[in-house]
Amino acid sequence: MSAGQPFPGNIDESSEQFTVSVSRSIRATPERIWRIIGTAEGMRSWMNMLNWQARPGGRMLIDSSGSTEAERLLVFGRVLQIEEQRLVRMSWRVLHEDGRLWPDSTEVQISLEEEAGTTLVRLVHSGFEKLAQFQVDAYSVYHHCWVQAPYLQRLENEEGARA
Amino acid sequence: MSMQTDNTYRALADGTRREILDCLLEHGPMRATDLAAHFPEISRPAVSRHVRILREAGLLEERTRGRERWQHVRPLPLQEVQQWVRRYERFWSDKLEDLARLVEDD
Repeated sequence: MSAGQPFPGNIDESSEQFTVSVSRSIRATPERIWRIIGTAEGMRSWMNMLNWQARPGGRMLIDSSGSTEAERLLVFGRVLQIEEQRLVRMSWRVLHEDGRLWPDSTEVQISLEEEAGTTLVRLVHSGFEKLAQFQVDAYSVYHHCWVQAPYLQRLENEEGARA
Repeated sequence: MSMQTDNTYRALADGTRREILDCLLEHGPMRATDLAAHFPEISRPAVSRHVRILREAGLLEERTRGRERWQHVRPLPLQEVQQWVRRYERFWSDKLEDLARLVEDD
């Protein structure tokens, strides 16, 4: 991940609850964006996917070696749901360069919603609670959620009560 | 990820230590002896050991009142964990930017 320009889209509220959710309006039709999401060539150019089968049960494979990630990762998964020009949901599991494998899959959903002349694209990455022990053992993992979310809420309440 | 966050994860990996945090959040600051009374199935030295690990992870802070030492929950390390989450928001935000560049430049 790089520290680039300020993100012009939205970090959605659910991100605070330890599911990553970001959205952005893009000046293109859902049909145009689907030419990226719905094709192997498009996903190669966008996500560096080596394999993308845009059908239910289809396979997904990403090799991060060409990205800015310090560590090489292989990301793999399957298409769980796909609705043309509207939605794709896929499982997302990572194999680290040193052989560590996420013990379970997370889930990534990309949804498109047509607005006046633009398309709202929303990316939601969820399921990190399944990786709790893995995160403890090897913390170069993406995300976390598990027990911290209720803790944080209660801690905030406690801090609020003290203030 | 910093050593402090590493310690935070390791401290939270243990179910008893999460219960100790729960207990302190629910009932407020306590002495180690009071805490031990909430965990009758665990020996007092074991509770003290868990408290020490939580303190070393920065999740608890010990404050002295007279001759008594009270354990307080300290939220700072979890805020650090939250910052880590935000890195991944950045990853997906960057991907959205890449997508916009791909389709808007036509």
